Amino acid sequence: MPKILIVDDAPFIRNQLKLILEPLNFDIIEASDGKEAVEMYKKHLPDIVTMDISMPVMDGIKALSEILKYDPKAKVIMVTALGHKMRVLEAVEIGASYYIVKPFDSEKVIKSIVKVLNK
Amino acid sequence: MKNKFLMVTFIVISIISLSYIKLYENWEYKWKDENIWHKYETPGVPLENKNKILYLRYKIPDIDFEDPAIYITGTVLFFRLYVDNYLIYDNFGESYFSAKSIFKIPTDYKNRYLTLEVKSNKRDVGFFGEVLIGNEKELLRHQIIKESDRLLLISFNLFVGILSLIFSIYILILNKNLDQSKILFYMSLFSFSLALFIMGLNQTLKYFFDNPIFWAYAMDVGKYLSPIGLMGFFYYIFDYSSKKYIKWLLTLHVLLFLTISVIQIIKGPEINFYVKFVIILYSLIYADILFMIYNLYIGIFRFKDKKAYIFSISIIIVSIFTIYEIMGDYRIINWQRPYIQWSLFILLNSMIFLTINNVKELNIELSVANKILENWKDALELEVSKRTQDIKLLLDNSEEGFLAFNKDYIISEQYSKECERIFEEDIKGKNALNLIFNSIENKEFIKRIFDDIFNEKDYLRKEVYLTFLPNELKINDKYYKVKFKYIEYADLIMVILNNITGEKNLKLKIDEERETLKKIVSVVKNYDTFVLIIKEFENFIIQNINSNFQSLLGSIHNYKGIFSQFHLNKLVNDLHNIENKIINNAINKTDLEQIYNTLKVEIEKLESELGHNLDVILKIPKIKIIELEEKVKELSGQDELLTEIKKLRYKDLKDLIIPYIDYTKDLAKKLNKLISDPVIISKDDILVDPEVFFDFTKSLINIFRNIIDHGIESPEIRIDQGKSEKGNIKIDLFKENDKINIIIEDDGQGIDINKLKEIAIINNINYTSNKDLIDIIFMESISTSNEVTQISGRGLGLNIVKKEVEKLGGSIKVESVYGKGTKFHIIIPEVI
Repeated sequence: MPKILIVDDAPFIRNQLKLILEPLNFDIIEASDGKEAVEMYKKHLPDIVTMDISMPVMDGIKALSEILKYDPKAKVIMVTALGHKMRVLEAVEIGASYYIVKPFDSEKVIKSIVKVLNK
Repeated sequence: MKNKFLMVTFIVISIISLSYIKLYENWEYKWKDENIWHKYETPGVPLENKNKILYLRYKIPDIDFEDPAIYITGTVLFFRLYVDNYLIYDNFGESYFSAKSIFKIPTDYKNRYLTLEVKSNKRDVGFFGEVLIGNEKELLRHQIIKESDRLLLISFNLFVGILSLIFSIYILILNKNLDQSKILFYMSLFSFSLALFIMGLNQTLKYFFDNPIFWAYAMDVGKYLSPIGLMGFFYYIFDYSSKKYIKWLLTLHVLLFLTISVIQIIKGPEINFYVKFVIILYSLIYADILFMIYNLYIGIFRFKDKKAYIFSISIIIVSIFTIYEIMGDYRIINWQRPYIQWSLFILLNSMIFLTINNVKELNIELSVANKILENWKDALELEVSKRTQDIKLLLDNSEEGFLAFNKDYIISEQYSKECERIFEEDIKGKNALNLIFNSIENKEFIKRIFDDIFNEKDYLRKEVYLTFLPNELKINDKYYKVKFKYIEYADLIMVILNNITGEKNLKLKIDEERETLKKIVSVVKNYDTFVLIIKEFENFIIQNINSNFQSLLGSIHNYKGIFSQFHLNKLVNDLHNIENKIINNAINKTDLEQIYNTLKVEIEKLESELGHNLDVILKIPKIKIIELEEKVKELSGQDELLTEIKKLRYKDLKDLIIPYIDYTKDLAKKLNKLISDPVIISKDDILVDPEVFFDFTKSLINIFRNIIDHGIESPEIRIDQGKSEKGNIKIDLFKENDKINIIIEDDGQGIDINKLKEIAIINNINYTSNKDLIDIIFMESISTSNEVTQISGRGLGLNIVKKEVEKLGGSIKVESVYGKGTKFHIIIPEVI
């Protein structure tokens, strides 16, 4: 059972993702900011991470680079609201595997996650 | 000049030839047991073999020589040479080894008899060569002149052998042409073995190195090796069908040579096994010749191969000489001197010729191949350009804009005609960034994506970068669907443009409707959260309308994300603009007011869509939902949305029952019965149409009424009976085999069967079992209680439940244990 770490400061968004991922039977763990995400990553070594770009304490891009520093093969999917493509591009340049855009299209989300997992 | 030279040469030779004397006539012979000498009439003709030892003698004339020596050639293998009784040379022990030809004799040779003792074996006896007496050096000179042909052959063979060996190695190392190298190697082997063979035949060399065993073995080894060289050469230079057999023969030759060599080494040089088993070699050579001839026959007649013509001539010559040699060897015919070396010389020459030819051919082949390649390339280029034209024609007519650009964003020469219409200009060599993305504000972003794509090595990541590019573009006031593809082999990005201006307007409308539906669905699904967030957001704006906007950036971004999840697109758009304004420090109060207005507009719209205000509990009128359903059906391919909307209309059965729980609790209070909060266990999501189920769920009130009124005892009685003070009611909801199961259970007093029996008698009801009896409770006008209470009515109640259940195509049964409790079990099919 793949382990996924959902990182978002908004519980609502985390729940949305959880609902989408429910049928996939993932082992879901959550973090509500970048710092927590990095700690969780080191502790649980999830197979895949969905990372919101803008978060308090430590933002998604910082957390991404921290995670990649710890595990260069980490599979991180950036989550972003519409219109933040510049920052997502930055994240992909740093090493994010993919990105998904809010609002979530459940099919697209699942496809992206499966695609990145199978890479 | 030439004539003078010839004359001098002639004189020199004459002088030399005068310095020795031919011992030819006056030979005498006798067999061993004879006493008298017979005159040998014609020396050179063998005497009839008597299987005895033969003596031949000649009286040496009275001529002076300073350094006297005898020169004998053409002797049989086993002989002893005497001058009178003085033994000069003994070859009796050294079987099969041919002797040298110059023998020193004592100086007092005059008038003495030169005697040859010859062992006649199977062969005829006699001598067939020359016998001379003279100065040793002069005799040597004579011998060299006599054998000059052989000496030349030896030098030639050694030369060819060394040269071809060098070339073989050279080709192997430099050209890596293994076949050519092997051809040269086998030719070299053949040359060397011929050289060895002829060296063994040569007498002159024996004069300088008088070791008959060595020379004999040299000759035999040469004899055995030469077919290996020849067959190997043949194998690689001819490529016909019997190649397989040639290879076998080659292998057999090698095996034969190795086997005999091993035997020879083990047994020592006394017996020459090369000679002993020579018949095997000859048989193999016969086979060689047969297969070679067959091969050449194919080469000549089927393939018209020039190589085969050349080779076959020399093979025929060699065959003839070989047969002659073998026949001579076995004295089938008379022969004086082997000429096979000359046939081999011809063969070797033809081999050299073939090798050179082969190399030339290779070169010719190469140059021909090059020429063909060139032609082919030209043809291909022509074809490609034709194809390109074809493709271009196709593209030109496809009414799609095709173009490609490189990492400097320069547009390639090849683009479809449609591009000219799209861009209204010749786009060759233009900058793609400026041309295609003219309508895009943030060109730096696009540029960065392209740079990422061109610099990225990983193909999959290139694909990720491609997704950042827009799907739609506005060029010269028209809308285009745009596809980007990375062309790996050319390191280009291809752009495909499709005019969608017409569809765009329609699509925008459909998109809007779809978004509206999505909005309603998500709002309804998360109604409480939504209402809460809206309130929170309202407060947020009111509270922060005068604060430092920079500090709001994070919150605004979050709200943007949340509202986008609810598809409040206008609000999201406004929030996005505000975000940008905050980043660019261009925000003011009116922007927030604007947001507030947008929010209000969105809410109003939503409220009209939902049919009621947001601040009350969600209850969308059915008509609204059916309206939504119809809309979704119009927008084809929205299955997911349709299910979601259906869910809006359908309700969980549990939710339909819950209101009666509160009623039950109230009722218990009224009747002074104590109950725990009834428990509803719903294992599955049982979605039902509330309209259809309304009457049924309403009828359930009768069951609850009965439970409180008749089932649950008063607290005192319960304590007396050892039950808990509070009565317990449990409702189980689950699906099984497409059937909805509802079980309502209590731990009250249960149904009194005896009482039911009385009722049955009173009401004239026939029964056969307790089950029939229990079913009485569902009959009209039946009550089991002594008093008619206000609550339960006169037996009206459970029969209503039964009726409603049956209306839904279901059934109801009841189980009861007196004193312990009652259990109602309702089963209703899921699809009614």
